[in-house]
Amino acid sequence: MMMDSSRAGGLTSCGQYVSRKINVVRWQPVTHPWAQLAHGDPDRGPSAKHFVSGSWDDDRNQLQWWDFRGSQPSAMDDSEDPPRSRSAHPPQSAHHSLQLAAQLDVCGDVQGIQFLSDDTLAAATSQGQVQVVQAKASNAGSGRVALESARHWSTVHGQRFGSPYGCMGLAVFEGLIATGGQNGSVAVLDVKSSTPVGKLDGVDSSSLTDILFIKQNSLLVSNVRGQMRLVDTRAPDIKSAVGTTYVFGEPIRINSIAQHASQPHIVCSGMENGSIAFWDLRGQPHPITILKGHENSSISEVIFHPQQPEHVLSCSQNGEVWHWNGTAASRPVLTQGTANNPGMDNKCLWFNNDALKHRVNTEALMQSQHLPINSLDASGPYVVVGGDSEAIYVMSNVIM
Amino acid sequence: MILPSVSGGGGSAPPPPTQVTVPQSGGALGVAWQRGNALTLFPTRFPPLDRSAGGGAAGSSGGQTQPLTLVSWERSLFEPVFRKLINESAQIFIQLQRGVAPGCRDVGRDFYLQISRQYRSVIRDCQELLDGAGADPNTMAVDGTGDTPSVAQSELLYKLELIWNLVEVLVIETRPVSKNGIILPQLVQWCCLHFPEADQKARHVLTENPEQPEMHAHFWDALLLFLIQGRTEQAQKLLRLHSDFGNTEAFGSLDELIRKMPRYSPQLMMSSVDFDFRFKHWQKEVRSRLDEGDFASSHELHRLALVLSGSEEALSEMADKCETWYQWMIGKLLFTQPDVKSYDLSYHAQQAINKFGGLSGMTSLDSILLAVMESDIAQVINELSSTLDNHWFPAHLLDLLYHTDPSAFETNPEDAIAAANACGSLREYLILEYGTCLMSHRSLWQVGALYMDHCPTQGKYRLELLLERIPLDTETKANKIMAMANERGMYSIVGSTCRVMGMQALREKRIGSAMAWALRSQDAQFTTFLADQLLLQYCEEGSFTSADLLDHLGSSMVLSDRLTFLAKYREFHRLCSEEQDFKAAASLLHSLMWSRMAPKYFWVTLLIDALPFVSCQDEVLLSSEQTYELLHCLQEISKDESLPKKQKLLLEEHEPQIRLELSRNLAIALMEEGDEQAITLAR
Repeated sequence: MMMDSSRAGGLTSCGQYVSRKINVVRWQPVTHPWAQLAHGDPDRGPSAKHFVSGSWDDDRNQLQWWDFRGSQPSAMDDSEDPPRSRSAHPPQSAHHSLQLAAQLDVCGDVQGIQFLSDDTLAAATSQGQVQVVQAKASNAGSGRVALESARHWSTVHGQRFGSPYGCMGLAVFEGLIATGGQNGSVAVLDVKSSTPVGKLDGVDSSSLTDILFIKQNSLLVSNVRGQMRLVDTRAPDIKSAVGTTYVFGEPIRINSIAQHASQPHIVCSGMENGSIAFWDLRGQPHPITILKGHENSSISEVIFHPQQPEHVLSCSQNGEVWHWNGTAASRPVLTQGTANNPGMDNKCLWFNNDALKHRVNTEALMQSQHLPINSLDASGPYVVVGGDSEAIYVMSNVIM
Repeated sequence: MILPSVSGGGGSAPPPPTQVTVPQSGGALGVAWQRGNALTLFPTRFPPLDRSAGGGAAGSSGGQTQPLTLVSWERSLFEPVFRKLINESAQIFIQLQRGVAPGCRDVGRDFYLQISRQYRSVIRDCQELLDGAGADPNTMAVDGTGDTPSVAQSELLYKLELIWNLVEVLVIETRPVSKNGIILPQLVQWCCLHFPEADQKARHVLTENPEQPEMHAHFWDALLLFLIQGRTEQAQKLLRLHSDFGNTEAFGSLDELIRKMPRYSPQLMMSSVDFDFRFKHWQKEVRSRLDEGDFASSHELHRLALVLSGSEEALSEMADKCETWYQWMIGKLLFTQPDVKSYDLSYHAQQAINKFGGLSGMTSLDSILLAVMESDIAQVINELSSTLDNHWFPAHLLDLLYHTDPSAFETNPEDAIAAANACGSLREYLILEYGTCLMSHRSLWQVGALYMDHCPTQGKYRLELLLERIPLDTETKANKIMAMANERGMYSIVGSTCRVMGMQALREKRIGSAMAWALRSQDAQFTTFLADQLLLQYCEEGSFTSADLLDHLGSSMVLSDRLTFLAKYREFHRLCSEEQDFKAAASLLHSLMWSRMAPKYFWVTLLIDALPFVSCQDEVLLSSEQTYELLHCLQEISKDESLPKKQKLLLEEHEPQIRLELSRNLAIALMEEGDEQAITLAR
């Protein structure tokens, strides 16, 4: 593994202090991200992109909808600077701006946000509440939006002594929403129905940490003891619902799990000890490969790049954001005619231990922060991160 | 700004003061500390309760609940705008601490200057945000509050920046440069930056009377202000706009004098003596032109020339054109003593203050600036701390000064070490206070902890005490606290956090979750306790609730003997039900009991579990020796007086059957073993 401290290629970043600790950030999905992002309409200036952030550990926690305007920079900008003040330094890169467009109060810490469609998102909180929120243009032409709660479910994981169990993760699949609970239960909700369509108690005896839809009826949940389980939501009882258990080997917390965009059986997990494990859900119940990083600090979130899964991004509790670039490793090596070897193409690069060791480039996308980075998301060339230093950063040209 | 806000909740705006009613007869005001800067107030004796209403203990069910009143202070920093200030300055603070950390290469003066400028820019930025928030309603939405932005806060920030800048000029920037001790150019620059009055007046003149600027009331004032700020080029430009310029000799003469005015610049490498000589020479020329009557034609020009000549009288008259004593002082020094040394500054400052109405008319800003000019850092910090309602400013300022020059407190070099010590402990006190203030906030505790890290004497202990007291509302928060404690080697916090979270899970009857917490902190005692709970639960319900956890314990099972037993016992069940390996299951069962790993109360259950194995008809699963040993265990347990009643009853019920089956098995086993022996012997 290599660690590039500097790179050619115009990585630019723009940041803003938001007066709230950020727990989740998510880009709004766009249908043709590359076409829309890379070149803004020259007449209308740089094109706007939107993302949503969710705060935690505050008296009033909020979902906030942000407008990000970015265009290809004409000159190289200073890339690894924290957001600086206007007076002494340029406020943000001249090509980028970050503006709050709308916000909505929620009950409890925001633990998960996922977009159901372009303008609808689902959010889950530590108070066991799940909301479907719609972004609506507040008045025509002004470009302003308002966030409206379209539906909400309370105490989806039940409660004890009057306080609801929190949601620890959230996943969506078409119109379905699934959340994993602090008490080890899984709730399945349908956007069209005000009552939960499924609730599985005791999927895990400890807390769940994250959840993914593998298929419409199949969920993958992770827990605090280094295990992941497949859960079949159609099963009549909990015993038959819980399927294969995948074991990391060490009993450490899995903080985040993410799925390969085009190959749903490939999953990676961000561990508490700073490593990223890659799993083949069709294969053996152990990680195929493990990458170590982040100076053994807990990984808060890890994702495959949604459009280019040969890139993996991760952020950690010691304030780092890393980009694992597998482009070099995904190219076939020109030895012994491997270029004509069809078997090689099908094999996922993240399962190739040798390639990971020698041909995955690792670079820090920004200077290490003094407080944890809790969440990150990528869309096209852009990466957004947020954390406990109450700042949101958007980096452009991360992936060219 | 000393406004301890009394609030009943956690709102950001100070609500109107609430009252705590204390009954007259023997009541008193009770006070309890909250975490950090907060107190809870309550009356110690409650008004007599109406017995008929069924009231029992005071404040519980009588329907007359007494509200607790929360008093907290130093809250002004918690407004959204200031949270930006807090977070941004924390980043600079950390940058500074990393820069001066032992082992780092020696950082230069430029580093401190850069840090100081960053702090100032953060203050200015925050001030701009406050100003902008007032003008633009949309910005308010960004900050998420409906509060009216305070003009007073913006002004306060302006003043703080003014102070910081002066400290930067006089302490951080100048000290090493003081080869010849000339400080006036920086002071003049400081003055220009903060008093843009001259520019404003000039702009008015030019926009309102572009044709005949001299007709404007502010023309001559603007000119004078430019001169006393040493901005000769602007003064010349303005002077040349006068309609008579070029017609009258006097204008040309003054213009020339202004142009020729010697300016000290550190880049010129001019010695102090050389500069002094040139300046005196120039002023001599001004005076001789005055004496020759060059400016007799115009009163205004004459007066300006008098100022240039350093005439006491003219400079004294100029005072009413200046807003503040320091503006006047700097203007005056520019024409009377341009090579003034920093140690003379306090004398001139005193004079200027006397001129402007003496000490009695001074605000705290004035006295702080005076203290800065007197290089009395202790006094500066003292004034700042007593005026401001939080320690953000003094803490950051003193920290920077401490790193720049720890002996700044004392001019006498003999006391330098003592001064550095004093400075260090004051720095620590201020940073601790500021950190504590942050830790009193629900959300900012992480930033507070960063500050505690840089207090060498008390920081760690205070952080430990405060971390322990942060309410563990969610698992996320507990994880963050544990990560923080782990990083700093506060393992007791890790242990206690796990225990609190584990106990909470246990109260909710989620033993698996509690066990996960106990295993995380390697808490053997708690693990044993929980394993016992699981066994008891098994005794009662006949099934395991946390099978998923027990099946994948791995190496963590060795943490406690009881847990090891539990995991092994679970394995026994798996061998029976899933793998159907009865031989292995039977010998595992035997070893669990014979090794005394199983707790006594569980032996009865184990013996009953053994029944199917000993009564198995097809195969001998337990050898004669193993059976002997089990019989021994049965004997031991039946004589044990300490057995719980339930187990005792259970034992009484099953003892005859167990004994019978065991002895039967013994007989069969002995027979088989005998046969085997015979076969081996026969061979």
